[in-house]
Amino acid sequence: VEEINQCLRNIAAEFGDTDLQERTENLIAEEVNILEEKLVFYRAKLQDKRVIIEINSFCSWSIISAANSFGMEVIPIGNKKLHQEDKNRLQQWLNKDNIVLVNESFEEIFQIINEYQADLLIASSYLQSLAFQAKIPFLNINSEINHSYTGYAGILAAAQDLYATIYNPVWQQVRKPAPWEEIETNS
Amino acid sequence: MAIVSVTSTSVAINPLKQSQAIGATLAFLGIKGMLPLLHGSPGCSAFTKFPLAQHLRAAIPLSSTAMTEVSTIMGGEEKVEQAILQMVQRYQPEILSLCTTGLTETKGDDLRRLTNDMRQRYSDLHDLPIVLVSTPDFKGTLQDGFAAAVESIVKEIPQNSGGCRQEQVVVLASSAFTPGDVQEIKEIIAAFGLQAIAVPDLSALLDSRWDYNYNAITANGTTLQQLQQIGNSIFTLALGESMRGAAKILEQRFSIPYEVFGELTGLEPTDKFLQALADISGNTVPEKYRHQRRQLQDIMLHTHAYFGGKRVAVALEPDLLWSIVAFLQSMGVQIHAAVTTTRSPVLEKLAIPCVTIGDLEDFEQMAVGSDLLIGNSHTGAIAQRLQIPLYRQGIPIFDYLGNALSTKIGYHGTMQLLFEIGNLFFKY
Repeated sequence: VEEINQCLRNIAAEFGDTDLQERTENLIAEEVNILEEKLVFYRAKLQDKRVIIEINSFCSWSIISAANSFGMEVIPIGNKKLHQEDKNRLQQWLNKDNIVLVNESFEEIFQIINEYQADLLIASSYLQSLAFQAKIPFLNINSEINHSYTGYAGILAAAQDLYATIYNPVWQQVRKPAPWEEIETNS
Repeated sequence: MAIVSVTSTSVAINPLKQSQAIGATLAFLGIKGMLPLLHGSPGCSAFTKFPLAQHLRAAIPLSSTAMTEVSTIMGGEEKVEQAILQMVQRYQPEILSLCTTGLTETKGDDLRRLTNDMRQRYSDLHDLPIVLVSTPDFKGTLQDGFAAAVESIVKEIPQNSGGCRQEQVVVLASSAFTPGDVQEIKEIIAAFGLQAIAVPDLSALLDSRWDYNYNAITANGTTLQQLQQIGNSIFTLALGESMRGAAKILEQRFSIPYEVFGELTGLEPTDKFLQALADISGNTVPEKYRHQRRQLQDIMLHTHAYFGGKRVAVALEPDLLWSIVAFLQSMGVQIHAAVTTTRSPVLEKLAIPCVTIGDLEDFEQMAVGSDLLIGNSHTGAIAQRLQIPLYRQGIPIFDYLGNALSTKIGYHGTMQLLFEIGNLFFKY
């Protein structure tokens, strides 16, 4: 949100028009107010959830700072080719050093999921089957073509997607064995 | 736990509910050799036939006692007598049903005394089973009429004692199930080595009989012979809460144990149903359904993103409402509004804040702001006005092809439903 605000302020400042700057401030205040009101519910639900975000795919960058701002614990994972500039940016955003670097092997990511007791994995579709195997909620960041996470509305959309994914009852259902499977393994 | 509220009962502006006689007639269409007769004015039977003909796209055999102003005031019993005698002579039905209407119910005709009396006087009628159902349209709805008809059938049909049949089960499927659903249910039951007698068997409506000249009698369905054997069954599968009454009658009459399955849509309800069939039959769950289950799980994972957090407004009869709401909630959907037609024990158990017994006028106001509407074809105009997509369920569906065959039950039907509803979310 701060970044959007700053972006609007920068544009207004470019024109050097004080009236425009004042109106921009009004707009920002109004939009932020509306957004914050809508976010109250989602913040409460997302607070302290641990989310692993795979940052090698370009799309996932759009959700990192949003997830962080909702009070979620973001655990970024990336491969060793990660650029120093990107690392610096992440460290600045998240206020911490632990970017987990992996070799993209499934076993390694599996281990991280267990180690951090993650509530959600955000990645592009190549990790989908891994998430299903690890039995944690998964948000396919590339398939979210219907939602853009830009602007104030985008922040809300991100919160809604995170909430809907983590809390979807589907995860429990697909984990549960069929009643006859339980009976058959017991006998 | 839902709070049930009733909107003004003094007027229905845009009615959602259908008359009981329609439900009872629908039930009779699943019995073979049945002559459905409606005791009322010709208009009563025309408006009972109309929605069924629209919905099923078939000629509906339904006759009327053709009451007029004069016969209503002067008595009218002779009209019933005349109708029964004429129809029996002309069509030789194996079984006859007689439903009342608002008119004759208000008048208070005692049809039981009349038919008993007639049976004694006419030898033709000695052995003809006559199913009486009270279906005034000022009370209850289609679902109630359907349930009342099923209850009458299982209560009235005389039984051939033939000893217990170890493989035979009774299936009572409520009006929430389409002919395609009943077909799928029968197939699943057969896969466990069980023989199902469905009361009624609506899948009969899927068989066209081109060699059969339209007349006043149904061409397909559960036969009288089968009905006379239901007492020998080992279990009753009551599908839909409204079938509990009929299942209880079978328990009292023949000591047949029963279980009510409120819904057969979704992973867990299907699991439960298949496990019950495995327990009843002593057979294991066939590989076909284990495979379908894995497929469904996979499809649930791939489609949930389109369902999670969506808001859906639903206007359906209680049994269908229950099943659709439970299914949608299992996919992470929020129920934005729920409107239904009549009281039912399932309403309080719904895991939503409130449900309204009302009409489509109430629904239109409550549905504003939702992502999808679910209701019968009469909801179409509302969907257009509100610019919200509509998924058609319930009766009647007259502006969409293939509803009779479509199924939403079992793993296979759940997959279909996931795609059909998922595509609507995907598109908009």
